[in-house]
Amino acid sequence: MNDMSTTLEPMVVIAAPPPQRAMRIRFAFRGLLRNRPLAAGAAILTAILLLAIFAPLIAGHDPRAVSVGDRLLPWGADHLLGTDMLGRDIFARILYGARVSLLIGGCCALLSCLFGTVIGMISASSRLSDAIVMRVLDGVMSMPAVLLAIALMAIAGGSATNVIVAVTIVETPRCARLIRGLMLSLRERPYVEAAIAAGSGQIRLLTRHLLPSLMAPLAVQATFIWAASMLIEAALSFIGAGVPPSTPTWGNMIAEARSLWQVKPALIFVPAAALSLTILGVNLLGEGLRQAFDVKAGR
Amino acid sequence: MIGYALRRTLLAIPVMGVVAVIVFSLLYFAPGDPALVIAGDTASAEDIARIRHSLHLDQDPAVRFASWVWQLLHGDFGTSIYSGEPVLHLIGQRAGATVGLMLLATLFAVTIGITLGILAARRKGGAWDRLLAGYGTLGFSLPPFVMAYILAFVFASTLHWLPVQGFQPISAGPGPFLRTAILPALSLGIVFSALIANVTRAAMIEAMGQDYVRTAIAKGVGERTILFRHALKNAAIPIVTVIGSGVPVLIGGTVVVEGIFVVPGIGGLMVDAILHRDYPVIQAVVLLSSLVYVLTNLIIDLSYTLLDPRIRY
Repeated sequence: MNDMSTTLEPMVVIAAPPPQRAMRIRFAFRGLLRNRPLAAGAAILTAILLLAIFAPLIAGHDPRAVSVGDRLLPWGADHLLGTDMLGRDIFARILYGARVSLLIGGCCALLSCLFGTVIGMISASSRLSDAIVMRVLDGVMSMPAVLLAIALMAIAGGSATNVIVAVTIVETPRCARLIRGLMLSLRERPYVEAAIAAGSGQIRLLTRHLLPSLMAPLAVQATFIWAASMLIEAALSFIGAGVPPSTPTWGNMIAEARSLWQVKPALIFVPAAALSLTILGVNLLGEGLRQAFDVKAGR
Repeated sequence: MIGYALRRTLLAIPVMGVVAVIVFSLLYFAPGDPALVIAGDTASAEDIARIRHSLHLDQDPAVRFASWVWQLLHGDFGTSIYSGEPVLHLIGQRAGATVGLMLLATLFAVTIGITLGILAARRKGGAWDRLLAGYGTLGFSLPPFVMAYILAFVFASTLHWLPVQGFQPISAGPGPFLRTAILPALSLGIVFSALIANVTRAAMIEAMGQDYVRTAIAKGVGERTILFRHALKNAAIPIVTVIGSGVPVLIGGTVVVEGIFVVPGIGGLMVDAILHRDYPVIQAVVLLSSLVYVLTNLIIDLSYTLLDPRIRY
């Protein structure tokens, strides 16, 4: 027995780091859970994302299958949320609508942040480029976002790709402005000056010192753009300038049910609730990230 | 001051120039021939030629841009492709309803927003503060058209307090206007009020932490006087600024909300213009709403000196 304890002793010491790391992860996780907006937002979005990904398995019905005999059915075992005016299953349409909404929102957030970062950096790089880029951004930003998106869609025609392009054009300036402001203030920070003085090259300066400081405010901004782009997408579909009506989207579902809303309000309120819940999830996630990173970001 | 006002006004010109370039070049975003796209599938060759000529697509873009801007500066916004009427005339017919709605929405938003913001700032983390946090989260998550259906469902279909349709302009008298405009104005105003409330709260908390407020409390000034005379006055600039930034939010919302409440305004004109690909109308609406936004911000910038006498240019 004595032998064993002496042989065990060093093993315990060697084995020590893993529990510590596990504990650190557990602490970090507990910290995240204590950040209630972050936890709530992540929970809502994970649930919606899973429903969207596994839509073909869960839905049980083809979201496009028209069945004249099953029009405007109430909710029940076969059609969980009932059917619409063409007898299509509302639950299936909601699930497939989540795919479109999340995909468009995610693409717009990603692309706007990408272009916004590049444009913001170009703007901050010299006084001349700043003057030119900022005037152009001021011009784009003085056009009401929804109107500009509508105008772009009206001329380019309705498709999911065009919605993404239109919303990205509308949202990129906001992000570019944020990055430009951050770059101008970061440039004055002692650690950046020190890095320059130490002979750090442009690329190293950018990737090692500047980009990491931009990530937190950029992540918060991305959630704002995500929420805004889902909202614009729904508004475009609603007025008939978005994704073609053949695609089940929440905005299209609300638009199709407009004439029936006093007869069967659920046709409007079910997709409206799905849309609002998703935007709520994104907003909570953004608020949680803002608190976690302590970013002072305005809308 | 006059020098600053002039310089600030001149700064608005390049911004509007950029807007004009973007609005003009929108036409060239169209895949293929814009005249074909606008005319639709059923158009004859004659129609296409007419549209091409009326949009001056047969001219060089640079020449066309110059003459377009020249016409705009003379108040000529072109002719509607669909109805054949001057665009400015169409907009003039419908601007009243939209402006009335936006002003009422702003009134609601400012009243609710500033009140909630002050109440929340009185005690950080208190009941009003938590109420505002919930109100803000909900307000930012409900798109204006969802808000419109909720309000219409509750106050029109269920309670029968207010009508859904039959909008009356201000010229019909304040009573009928308010009865028919309250629901659309609230649908537009709630998001905006959440925005104003958040900014008011932050600005008030900042002002309440200042030395002069501490001095006022120490010498026994009443809470009401401290809140309104000392803190709110000093919090005015961010609040007024955010009110200006809400103009595009209102314009974007009105396009969607007007349809639900059947308000004969600019929003409806825009939606019809999209259906008919009535390009000059779309261009004019975007251009004029940007102009409204730029002018609002100009007035707000110039008002800073009135709000805060310490600001001198």
